[in-house]
Amino acid sequence: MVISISVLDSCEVDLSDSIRPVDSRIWVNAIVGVKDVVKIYVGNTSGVNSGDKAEYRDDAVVKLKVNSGSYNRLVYRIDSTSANKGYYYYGRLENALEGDTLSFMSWIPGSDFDTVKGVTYIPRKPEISEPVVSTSIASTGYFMVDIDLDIPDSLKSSKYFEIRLKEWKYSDINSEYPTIVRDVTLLNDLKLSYGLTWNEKLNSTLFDYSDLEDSNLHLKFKVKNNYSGIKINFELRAVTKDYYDYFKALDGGSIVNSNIINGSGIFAGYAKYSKLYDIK
Amino acid sequence: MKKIIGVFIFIILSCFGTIDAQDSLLLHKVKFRIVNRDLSNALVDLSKATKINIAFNIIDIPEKKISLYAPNYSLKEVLDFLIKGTKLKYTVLNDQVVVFLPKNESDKENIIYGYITDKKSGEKLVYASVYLPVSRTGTVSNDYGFYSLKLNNNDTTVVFSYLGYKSLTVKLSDLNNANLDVNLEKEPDKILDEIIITETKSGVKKLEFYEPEKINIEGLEKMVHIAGEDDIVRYNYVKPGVLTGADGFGGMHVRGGNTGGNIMLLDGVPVYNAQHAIGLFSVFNSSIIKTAKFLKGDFPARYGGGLESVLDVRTRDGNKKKLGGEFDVGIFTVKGVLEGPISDNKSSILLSFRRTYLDIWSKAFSSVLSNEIRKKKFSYYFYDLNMKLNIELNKRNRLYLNLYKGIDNFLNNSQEFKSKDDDLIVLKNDDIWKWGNRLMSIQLNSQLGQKIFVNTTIYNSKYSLNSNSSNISLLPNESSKYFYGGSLLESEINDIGLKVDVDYAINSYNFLRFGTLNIHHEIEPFVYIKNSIINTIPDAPKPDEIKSGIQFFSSNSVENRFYIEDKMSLGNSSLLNLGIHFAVFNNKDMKYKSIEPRLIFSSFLSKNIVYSASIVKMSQFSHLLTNNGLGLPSEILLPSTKRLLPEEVWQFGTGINYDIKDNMNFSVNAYYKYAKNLVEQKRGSSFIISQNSNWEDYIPGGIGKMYGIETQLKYSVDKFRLLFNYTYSKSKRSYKHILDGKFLDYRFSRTHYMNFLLFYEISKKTILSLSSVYGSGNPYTIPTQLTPEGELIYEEPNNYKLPFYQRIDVGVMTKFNVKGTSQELKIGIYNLLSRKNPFYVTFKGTKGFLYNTDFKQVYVFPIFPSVKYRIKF
Repeated sequence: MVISISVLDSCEVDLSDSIRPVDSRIWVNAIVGVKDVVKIYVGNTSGVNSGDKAEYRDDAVVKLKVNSGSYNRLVYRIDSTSANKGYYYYGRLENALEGDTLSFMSWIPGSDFDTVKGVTYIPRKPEISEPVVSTSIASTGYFMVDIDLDIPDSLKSSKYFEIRLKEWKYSDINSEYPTIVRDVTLLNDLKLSYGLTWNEKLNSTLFDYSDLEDSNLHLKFKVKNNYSGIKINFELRAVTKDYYDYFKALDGGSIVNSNIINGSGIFAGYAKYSKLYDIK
Repeated sequence: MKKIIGVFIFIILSCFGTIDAQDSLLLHKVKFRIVNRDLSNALVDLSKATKINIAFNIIDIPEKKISLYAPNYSLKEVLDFLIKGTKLKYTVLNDQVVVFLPKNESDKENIIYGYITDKKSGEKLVYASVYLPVSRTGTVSNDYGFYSLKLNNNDTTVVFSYLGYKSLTVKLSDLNNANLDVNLEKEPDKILDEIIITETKSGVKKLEFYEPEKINIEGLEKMVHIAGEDDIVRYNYVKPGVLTGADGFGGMHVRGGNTGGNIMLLDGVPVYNAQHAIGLFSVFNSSIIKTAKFLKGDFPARYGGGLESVLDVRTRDGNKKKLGGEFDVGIFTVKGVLEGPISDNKSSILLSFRRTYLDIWSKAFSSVLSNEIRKKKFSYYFYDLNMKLNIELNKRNRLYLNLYKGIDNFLNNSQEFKSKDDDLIVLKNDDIWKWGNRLMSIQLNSQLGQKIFVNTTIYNSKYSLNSNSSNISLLPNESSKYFYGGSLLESEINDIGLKVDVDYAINSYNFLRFGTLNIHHEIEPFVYIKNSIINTIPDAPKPDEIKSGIQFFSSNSVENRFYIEDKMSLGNSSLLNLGIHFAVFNNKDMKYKSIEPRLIFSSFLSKNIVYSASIVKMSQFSHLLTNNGLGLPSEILLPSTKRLLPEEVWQFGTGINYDIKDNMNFSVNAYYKYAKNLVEQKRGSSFIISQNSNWEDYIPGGIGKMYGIETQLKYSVDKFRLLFNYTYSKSKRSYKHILDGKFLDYRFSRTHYMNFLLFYEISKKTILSLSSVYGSGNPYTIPTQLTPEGELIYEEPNNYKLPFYQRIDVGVMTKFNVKGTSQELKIGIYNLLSRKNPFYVTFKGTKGFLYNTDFKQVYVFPIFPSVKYRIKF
């Protein structure tokens, strides 16, 4: 009996063979958008057996340059709503524009971490006609929202896209789990392809233009009925290949294709079309 | 004209046998001595010694060793001695002696054919040896106990033998006709004889040469198996090159291949997912197995549809002479068999059942495992039912009706609360899995003349799987939101097949086989894997809700296979099996063809050394998709589609088998495999297989390279039998979407693997067994980095080697007879040293750290005793 119990429950032991240590690295999450505030997160990873704790770093030096211009240092500022995170608010550099090449570098003075670098660009803004939206009562307490949009041929060159849905609140720009939106289905000519599967943690989906069977996308989702009305922000982003590969892999929990040289993470650009909808 | 007259005269002379045309020549005194000389050379020596010309045609002279000391005999006496036991005759013509084979003996095509059966039960004996010791050729009985063998001119006797049975020698001169049905008698209970090692008597050794893939069923029940349950699939793990997944779970991986590439046949009918209890047991009830073949490389043309191995299991027909049965109870299972004749000792029926009663144990465990903050409910059982009806329609035709049904049922619920006084659920797991097979077949055996045997089979093979799993956990730092991870898997496969196999024993040097297999497949896989954030536990998606909006993917296809193979004896020491297997797969969208050559060669380099080589190509049109690498029943079978190409493999093998002594044998085999279009599911948080999803995007095909060297040593002395295997192997995969196609170690590969098996006969009725297994650690994927946002980064698949696998099992088995019944008691201990062999690795730890202690190795089987009792009547 005792033996059988051990078979069924908590049959765990420490891994007796040592795991080869892997060094920690500087980690960067830098997604730069056209006419958006430039926010870059820098931290260090915890490598296996490295002894380092994975954390955000406020002591890093972060520099950015546009095209062939000179590197400009970014300023560190603590976000008032989240004391644990640091982000760098871009104050003196002009907003990056479509087509611009961005270069990035960072290091942590006094540490053993290698200097990290990255290169990306800003894609062309997706120009689409305004999506058609309709709402209906889904069930008690919920609306069903339908958004119909066209992805024209002109966007073919941009190739990679992301759709995001978020409840929009003035004070809630970085909601970690925006779960106001539920049961999203995304149909393209009645085909639900893997590339269009909704990621509920990020409330977004990534897709490749070549995944589409035709130009029509049909987005359907539920929202909770707030009787005073809610605002849903719809975004269609054109993203770089690095962005697409990185978040696809991360979503898959498999190999993460970092484009940070000597480090981990992502440095990528996007350009967006967005529309705010009042749901009542 | 002259020729005809000459022949006529010769015939006249022959009819008179030995003719004293010139007595004086034959009365000539001879002083002659030879030691162990071939007959043909002895005649030459005799001619030289007597200076009398002795003429003969070398083709007529059989291979026969002779020793003779003739100090002062007549030539006639010496010749009589030399040709004794052969069909040769001699005469004197023109001052010379002519030794010849009488014309009627040399021209007539002599064939013997018939069935080989067990004398006591009437059971047909499959792969029994039929051997001609003079001409040193032979054959084996086929899958239904039938044999056909052309005799050579010099053959005087034929020997029938079968492991565990007394050999029978029949004088050919005693036969009145060519039909020779033979009944063999079992040896008295020889507990250890030929468990592992076949004694090198010429007949038995020849059997190995002809049918090396036959599994020794007698050895199966003498080994220690987990929970005391004999299992033919697990028995194969004793063979070099055959591995399990993780600690016995996860299917059978042969020479670095995928478990989905194994063809499992039950009385000729394919079985999809032949696993109970996720690989601990198979669907093959050992109590009713008559014989089994296992091939891992040398696939003759008659097999097709799988890349890695063939396990061909044949069940017993049932006792045709009297009613009998057996009952068997162990710590996990109970099983029974009932068999007996139907009428006139020509037909029989066999019924068997097997069921675990683990669900009874598990209810008790569940209550023990539950406590104030954790409620646990766990239940598992499986059952098998077999029925076989065997009807002799007439002397040449026999009908079989086979039925099998098996079900596995697994339930696991657990809930964990925040604290004793707080009913907030922090963790909830639900798993409900049900899967099973149903097989039905009608087979007709027809004997057409002396040389041709035809088997026609119509069958239905159905497999279904229903599994619903969900894991809901309270998010850290969130008091009211939950992470939901769920999967819904359903799979239904329904095959209707028609097979015709023809065996044609052309002569003793050519055995032709050809046939066709035509299958209609209906495959309906459904996969829905999803992760999401939910507000409350009742918000978790329900199976009906998930399925209601989705159209199931369904595939109807037809597969046609044709083959022809010729097993040729090249002289007395070489065998060549040359064949071609042709397959066509089509449905409404596409058509695939495959031409698969098969070449298998073996040859005696010397009396004790056999060399073998093979080149085969195999293909399969179905793909087994696993999503966790543990061989759980969440494996889904998918058909080939326009974008999911058929899998293919080329395999090259060569080896040497060496009888060092009569009781010691050593073999070494090397192989290389190259495979294409192997499927591997991309890891992902969401995955849907349905009519409307481009799921093929998620299952890219890759390349596999597998190679290795397998060695085996067998030794027997007195009461000991020893078997030792060592395998060095590598198995690699390359997928374009992973590190740009870099070749990486396959998840279920072990570079070094060895096992050791020892039997000791304590007494005539009692045997002790000891086995040990060692394998280097499996590759496993672990994260290498943790980001400040709590994401685990996996940079390379299979980047870590688990600790090595090692296990020692001991057991004792004793047999005794009580009041007309035969009884057996087995006691065993699995994993005697209670080594915590790794099953998989979990990651736990404080956010922000990725230390060694964050990784935990999960094990399943510590020390595991078992007891089993059997009674046969």
